[in-house]
Amino acid sequence: MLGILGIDIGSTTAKAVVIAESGEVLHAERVRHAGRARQAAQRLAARARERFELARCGIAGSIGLSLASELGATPIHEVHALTLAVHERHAECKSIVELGGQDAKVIFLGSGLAGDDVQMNDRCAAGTGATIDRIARRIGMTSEALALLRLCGNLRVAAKCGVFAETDIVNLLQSGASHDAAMSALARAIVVQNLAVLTRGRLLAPPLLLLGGPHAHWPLLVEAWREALHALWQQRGVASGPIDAPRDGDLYVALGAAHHALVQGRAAVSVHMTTADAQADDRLLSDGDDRSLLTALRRQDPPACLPSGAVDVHLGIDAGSTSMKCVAIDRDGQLLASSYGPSTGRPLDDARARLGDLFDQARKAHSQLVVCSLGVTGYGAALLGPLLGADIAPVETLAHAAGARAAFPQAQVVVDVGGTDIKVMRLQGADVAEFFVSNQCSAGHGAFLASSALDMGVKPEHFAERALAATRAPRFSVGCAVFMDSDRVTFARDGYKVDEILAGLSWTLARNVWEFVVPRPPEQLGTRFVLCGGAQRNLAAAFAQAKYLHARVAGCEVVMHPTPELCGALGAALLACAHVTATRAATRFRGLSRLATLQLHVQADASLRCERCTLGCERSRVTLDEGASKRRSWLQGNACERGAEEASTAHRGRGHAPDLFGADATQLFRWPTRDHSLSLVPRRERSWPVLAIPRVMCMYRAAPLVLGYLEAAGMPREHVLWSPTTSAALFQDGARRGMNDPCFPAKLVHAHVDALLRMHAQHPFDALFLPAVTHASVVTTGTADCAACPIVTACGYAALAALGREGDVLGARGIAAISSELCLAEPAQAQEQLYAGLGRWLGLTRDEHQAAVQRALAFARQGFERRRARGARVLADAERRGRAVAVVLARPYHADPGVSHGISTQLAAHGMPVLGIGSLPLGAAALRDLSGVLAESTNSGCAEKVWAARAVVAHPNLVAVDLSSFRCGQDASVLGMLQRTLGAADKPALYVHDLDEDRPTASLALRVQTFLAAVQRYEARALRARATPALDQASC
Amino acid sequence: MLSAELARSTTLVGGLGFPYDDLLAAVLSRFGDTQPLGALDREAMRLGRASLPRGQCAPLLATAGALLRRARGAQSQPLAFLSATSCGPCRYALFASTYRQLLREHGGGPLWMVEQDWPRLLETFGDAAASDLLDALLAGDALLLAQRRLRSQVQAPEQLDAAWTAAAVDVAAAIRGGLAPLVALARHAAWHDALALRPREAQARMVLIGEPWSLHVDGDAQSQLARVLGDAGVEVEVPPLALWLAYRLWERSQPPLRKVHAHAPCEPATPPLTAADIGARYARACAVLGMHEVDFPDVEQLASWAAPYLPASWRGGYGHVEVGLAARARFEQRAHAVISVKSFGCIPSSGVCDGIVPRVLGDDVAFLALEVSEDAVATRESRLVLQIAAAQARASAEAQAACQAMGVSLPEALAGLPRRQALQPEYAVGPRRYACTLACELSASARRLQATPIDPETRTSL
Repeated sequence: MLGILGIDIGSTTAKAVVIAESGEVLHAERVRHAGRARQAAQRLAARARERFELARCGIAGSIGLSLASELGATPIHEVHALTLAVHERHAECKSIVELGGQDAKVIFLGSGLAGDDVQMNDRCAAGTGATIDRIARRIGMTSEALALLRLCGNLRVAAKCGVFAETDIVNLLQSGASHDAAMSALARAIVVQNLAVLTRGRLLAPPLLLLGGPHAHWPLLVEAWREALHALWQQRGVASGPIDAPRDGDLYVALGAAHHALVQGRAAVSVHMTTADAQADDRLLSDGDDRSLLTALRRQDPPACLPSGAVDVHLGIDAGSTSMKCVAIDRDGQLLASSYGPSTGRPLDDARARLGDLFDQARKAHSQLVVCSLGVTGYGAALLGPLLGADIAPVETLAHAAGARAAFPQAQVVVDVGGTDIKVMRLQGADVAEFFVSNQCSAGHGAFLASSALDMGVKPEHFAERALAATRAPRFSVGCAVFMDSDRVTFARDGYKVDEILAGLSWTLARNVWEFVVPRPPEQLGTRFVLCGGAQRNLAAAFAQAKYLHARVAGCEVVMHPTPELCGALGAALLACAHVTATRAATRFRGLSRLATLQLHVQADASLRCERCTLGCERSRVTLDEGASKRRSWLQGNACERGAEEASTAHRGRGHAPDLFGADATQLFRWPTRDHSLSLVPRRERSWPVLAIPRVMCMYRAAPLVLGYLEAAGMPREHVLWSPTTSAALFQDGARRGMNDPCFPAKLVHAHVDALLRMHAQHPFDALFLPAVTHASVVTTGTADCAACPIVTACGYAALAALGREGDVLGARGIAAISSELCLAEPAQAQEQLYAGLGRWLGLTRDEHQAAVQRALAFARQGFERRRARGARVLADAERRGRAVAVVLARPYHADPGVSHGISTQLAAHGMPVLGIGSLPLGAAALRDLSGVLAESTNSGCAEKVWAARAVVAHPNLVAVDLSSFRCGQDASVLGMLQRTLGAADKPALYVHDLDEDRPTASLALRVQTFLAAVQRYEARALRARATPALDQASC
Repeated sequence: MLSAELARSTTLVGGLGFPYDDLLAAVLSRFGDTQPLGALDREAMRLGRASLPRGQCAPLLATAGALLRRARGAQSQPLAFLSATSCGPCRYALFASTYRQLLREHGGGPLWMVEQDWPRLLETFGDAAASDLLDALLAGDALLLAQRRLRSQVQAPEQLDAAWTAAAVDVAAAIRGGLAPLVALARHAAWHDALALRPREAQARMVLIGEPWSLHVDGDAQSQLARVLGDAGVEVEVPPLALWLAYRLWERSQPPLRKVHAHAPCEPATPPLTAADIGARYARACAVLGMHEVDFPDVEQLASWAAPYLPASWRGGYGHVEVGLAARARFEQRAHAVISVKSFGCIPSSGVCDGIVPRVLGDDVAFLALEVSEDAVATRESRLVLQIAAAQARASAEAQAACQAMGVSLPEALAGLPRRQALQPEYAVGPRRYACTLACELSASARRLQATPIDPETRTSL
């Protein structure tokens, strides 16, 4: 029979459709190509040829276009193929959302310049289909099981990035959430993300088609779209319409390619941009030296040496995100037995299984284990510690450091690569002097390598052998696993073989660790490196790291831990041993038999979400049934102690230290009270308009001036409407309107404007005030300028511009937009600008305006002085008590807990006082004169951060917490300087960068705990025994 | 003092890539040993990325990487570094301190850095050398303009690349031999004579906007974007690099937004040139290569177009020009699509390309914001192909519409047009009814084709 073949070769799947000349579908087939796209396409074409006489062939897809000439097919862009198929089948359709393995498209049919307006994802937000695949694999769900899930619950995960989402889902499951609820959260997040990035504010009109593999095979996602779009249409006053997801929605591109061939359409333009190059030098093994290095790295498992009879043992458990490890050591630290298994998401069952295995091994060796202590570390430690009766629960960084030092006492740097995190610790004796943890954009590397191998049909245990055999390797980008996955598609398209791609992937780990995770050159950390963590069992990746380090660090020594995957558990056991030896305490370990009787119930749902602040921690309730009517219950997942008790209404516990940085989120926006009232302008009998202001960006600098001005002008307090502080809900609601994406705080502007517009229904307002703050008033001197970042300055304009895509949204509601410039550094100029913006709109006379501005300036100045005075009192108290005070080096808007994820609150909850730059005592003028270090800088925030870093170095009681948002180019410019400045002081520092809408709870806790442990050691070492000089006496 | 320092140093000139660095180094060779820094290729980018804190912008990373590569191989001779980056008027990355710090940590020899700010650089070298430096920069612009105009017309792009590269190298050699830049350029004006052209067809036109670095550092920096588009048959308009200089001069002529700090480096009192001078000299350089009808963007006009969306007084860097160029593309009907080329980490470009530029363009011109980096090439290509297809469809429709309005068929019109000549303007200058060059040519040749003339003031609406 005569047929027309259409082929679609995407990033993960190859599809073929044969149609008759009438358009009728005669044959359809889909296969996963596992990185062998060319062979898959050839097989599909051959099978179609066996059954049909093929007149013509069309081809599409991200890999398909490059195979067009080889297969004699007419190339067509997948979007054109898609719309062609839709026109054939659904003439009435107005919008299409198509999700593929690596890309996402939204098509507004018939509304663009050339007919259709098409939006495709850029780099971030890529990989929806691949992400779903990977997460399903990670949590052990088959595609059949995935298809049976139904939308439920109200949990939240972030899906800006597939890597973030994966971490969130694993954490939710480990906290007791059901698979349905966790995957529902993922589906909803994917929908919000696509609405934010792809529609950019344009409304998806019905009838709407959901196409592509994820929609065809995962009904849950379709349900999430229906839920979101019906709500959106209702909100915008649009009549609801059908949302269809055809079961063969993944075949539409192939179908369109066939139709294109049928009508003998024009071939798509071919473009080929530069891709990463293959260089002979990039091959992993190239000479004899390499082979010696490889031989030296090959790990040698120590022989199991369980003696018979009664043996005193110290147990260590490392409950990681992907696996659980358990070891038994003797009091000399000798490994006696170990057990390793995957994490199933049920930590207690996993722990019982590992411990059971250990005791089984003992039984077989005729040993009788006498447990002297138990140490538990890893992500699951918070839950498992109390369940198992652990004597100690060290943070992972400390456990790995202890494990590495036990094997190599001279170790200077420990590189731990696990399934999710990469941690690099610089050791100073037994102490962790400095540590670096992968942020979200470099996370998931261990799991990614294994997952990529599986995607290409290679078992992880064969990864190294095949990668080491490759004679060339493509250069991948580093950092984000989703980007690397995109690269993999590109290289597959460009003809790289699987082994070569594996070799290229091996290099990425080395470059990710040393160019992304650790912001300093490796030679600055030391010369003796120890590789540990489960991912280091991949010898190709470990070898690439060793080779990289040898090329960078003269005279370096790189060794593999003898049992890299057990290093954390070994460290936990060693620390537990040291603990019980030092305290002479009996172990609290419950014993295997008692563990067997424990019943654990974990409830995780939206009803337990903490509402005491805008962070909205997703908590779970753990109930432990110990039999004999002994039952205990507690909450977990709360970022601070406020959420520890369900019924408590306390805003803080007794141990909570002052958090002056976090307090800015409310203090700066406090209406001048009657006592502070400085109003000179007579309150006239008039009808005052209502002004709405988004609580974002530059308002964290301008709010005191603006509020003081409005109050002095006589405006009633209730006529000023602020958007709330940022929360996950506010962001996700706003995201549906579309986002600008230069940086995370800029994205929030849209969400806050959206929040105000939604508030407008209940609280009508007359104007939206979005000042363009061009310069800040700073206390530093010696820099070229004190300008605001242009993104901060223009964020109001950008938000209004984006809003304009929906028509005159403000005008339709009778809202005026006030977006005047505001130069906070020049009061006279600010006075004129405020008049042009607010004064004229309020109907003030020039004199009234001038008086109001003068009083507002005085109010703002007094507020700033009060904050610094409070800071000085906090610091003086810490000096007296020999305690450290954290100074948050951040932009003013990081005081918004939704921007900084409440890090300052977490520190304060652990008893650590926190200052911000605005509450840091001014100290010596010399410290604030930056002419010698930052003369060319024009940015106010950069200057403030550098000053604060210098102040931290100069005062022994101050330690630094450096915060930075995702894609902050301004912060990037001074990052090196900050690290050099802070690194010169022998004191702990916490770096939390790439803050985004996703809140990596577990990773943040790891950093905070490691930092707090380091601060405790620092306090004991440097503060308790000495008097501290006043800041203004410190030398520059 | 300057001459003495230069005489005992090896001066590296870098940051703009080929041919700019080579031409500028050639001019400065009269002061001593002067060499181009070398390609700002992916290797340089990787070296920069491996050596600097991450998150910095691509221009800084690539230039720093190239500098580091040279510094590591340096002999005992002191190294001087003359760089045009910072990236145009970008004031966000700490370029100078980063280069200084990097060379202090990794450099093989002493470092002497030349002032980076271009207008000051021109003042520093004295009138004659400054004038030649400017002409060398404009010669680079003219050479690149010619290459980009020809790319969509030639039958064999690889022959174009070979001839163009050879011409640029020869011009630099001639300058080193003592010729003035424009004289050297004139000596090699016939470099493209042997290139065969394709027959006329309706071609899509695209305007590239972005920071100067991402637009002008040809090759890896922008993923070969201008070349890729040209090879796909798209006419590409890229604003000249000298526009950055003109904007910088114009910006200086504006009243300051605020008093600068007492410690801030002083701005020179009187710029030696004005933005208008730059435009005039650009036209002269282009004329040397036979391109007589070039229109250098009017900086004042750009600022005025951009003002409602991003007032120039905010000193948002080249972001103002980017918005102005987008408005120019729209209001002058210059393109079927505008592509904002964002080099990774570029603050000014990131700030405007998501919300403001699409608003400026409205629904009149298609828009694509493309962040260029090493990864996700397949996705980037896919988005580009889509944009090209849409633009081509619009160009074809415009050519058909022109013929219809003139009452002739397209084959008749094509047969009646004069023989195609290389380096002729791609489209008629002045108020345009069409963005498509062919449609504009047909419209302009109505009398010759004995067809109905079209009122150029009446814009088409497709």
